[in-house]
Amino acid sequence: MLASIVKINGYNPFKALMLREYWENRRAIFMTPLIITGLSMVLIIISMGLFGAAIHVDGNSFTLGEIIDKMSAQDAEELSRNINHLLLASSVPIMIGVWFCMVFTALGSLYDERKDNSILFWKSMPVSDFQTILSKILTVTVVIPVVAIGFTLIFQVFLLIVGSFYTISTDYSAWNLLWASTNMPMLVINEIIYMAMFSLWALPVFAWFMLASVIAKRTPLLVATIPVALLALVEGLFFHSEYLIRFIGMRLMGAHILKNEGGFGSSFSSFDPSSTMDIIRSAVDPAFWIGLSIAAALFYGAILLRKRNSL
Amino acid sequence: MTNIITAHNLSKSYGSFQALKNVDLTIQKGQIVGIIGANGAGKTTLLNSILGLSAYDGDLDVLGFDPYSQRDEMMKEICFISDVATLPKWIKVSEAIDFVEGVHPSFNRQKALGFLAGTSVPLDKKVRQLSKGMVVQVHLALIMSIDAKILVLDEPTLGLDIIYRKKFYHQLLEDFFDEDRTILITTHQVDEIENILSQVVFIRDGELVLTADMEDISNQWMVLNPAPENNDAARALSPVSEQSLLGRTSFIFNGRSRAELAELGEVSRISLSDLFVTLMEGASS
Repeated sequence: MLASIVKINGYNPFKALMLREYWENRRAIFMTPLIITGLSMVLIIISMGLFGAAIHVDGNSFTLGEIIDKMSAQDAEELSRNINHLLLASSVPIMIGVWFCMVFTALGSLYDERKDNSILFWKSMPVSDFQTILSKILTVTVVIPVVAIGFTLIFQVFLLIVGSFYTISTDYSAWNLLWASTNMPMLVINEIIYMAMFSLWALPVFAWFMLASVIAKRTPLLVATIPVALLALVEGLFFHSEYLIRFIGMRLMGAHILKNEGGFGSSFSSFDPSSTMDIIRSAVDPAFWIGLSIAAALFYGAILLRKRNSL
Repeated sequence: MTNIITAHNLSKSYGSFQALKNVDLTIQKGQIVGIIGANGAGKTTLLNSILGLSAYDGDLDVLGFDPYSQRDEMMKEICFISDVATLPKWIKVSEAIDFVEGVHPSFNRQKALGFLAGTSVPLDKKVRQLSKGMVVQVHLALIMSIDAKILVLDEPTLGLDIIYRKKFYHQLLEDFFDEDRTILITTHQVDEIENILSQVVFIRDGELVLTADMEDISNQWMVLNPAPENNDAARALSPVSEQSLLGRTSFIFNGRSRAELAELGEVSRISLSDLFVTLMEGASS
């Protein structure tokens, strides 16, 4: 099935554009989450061997045994909640890596093709600037996160398997303790909703990155950040407010997905997503729609500029 | 004859610099047109306008399309190779074929694979890993497998050695060109393409200096190498230019009859590079 998705059979411009994005951004889309997942697995296996199955959570160290003891003392509902939360939190390293991939893919999306002159090749084909830019938006905000969710799923199953092996030497049943308590479909659905809502809230920021990448003569990162920093400075000096920085920071850091407004915490325990319903409900906030309108305007600007600035 | 490209009053400015000044141009189907000019004369600007890559002032009609606003539709009928560096470095040859097949309704994969089978280009390598000559072969194979009405080549052989350049033009004529297609070429190696051109456009400082059929040029423009004692008689016929080299003087004439000149010495047809130099110097003096 995968083979037919990634194979071109005749005229199908949008599929070809999406595949083109995959070929160009294989590292961001596939290699980065693969490597993070692989490294996390290796680290877990090594740490179990070296430290007698100690797990370090926020500077406290537990052995797996202690965790399992603690867990099995909990009632079924609490156990289930904790395991699902633990599995969700285990995806944070992948998500952080993928966040960087999204940012840098957006910043390079319309800059790299001008830097290596390949824009003349792309433009020699009957494809509109609108289609091209749409394929790049979808790559950054849909393809990269969706592939990442696939990897978090693999990692979560891996954790359950490792945990199951550990229970072999104990009196507990892996099925009761781990597998029956895990609601995998729900976990995946939640992750998809988190990612989708994160992408939508952050869309104006990614649109801004893509506009910067179409404008930049060199270093799109600076073009994206310096004007914002200056504006924020002016805002702070004259209006004593920090609306702009909050607007960008909160959206880019997923503040609307997490309960603590600081966004992605650096520690696992602070990874505390709001309930899925709350996250979906955040879409009634006018700020959500204002952000999408700003994103649409910025994308429109990027399309016009790519049409004009091809040389 | 059908006009496939019509430009009227075409202008383009970059700030205060006028790259194209009120250009009028018509190009008909089935021609191979050389666009010849010095660096910065406006060749690429003219081609970019025709290709819809930049906005312009004035009227421009290419195959019935307005190139700038209808570029994506128009490009179904036009192929384009600018200088060799435009294939992205990260793409594999096989992926490039897939991509063009996906986005171009009149691309023929078998044809492209056929062209590439005749070369030593490996399909599973990335463009980055290929030699410059191979990259051009890949690009040419892709382009020639598209059933297009117009092919635009902007310095297509830049940086290639002579063997590849010869092959390039040979293949173009053998495998692509026919009376339903039109080719526009700019190049600095004028001598290499003059045998295949049917029409030339000389451009200087954004203006068209001369637009003519090759046949008319060889009827109009002649080079006379007179016997030394006839030099004064030749000068009396008001040549466009005179050049002395190793004791022999040659004169370039415009619009004189061959018979008249033949009385003074040996008459030959003018090479495009000589005509180019003559026109450029004539315009500046």
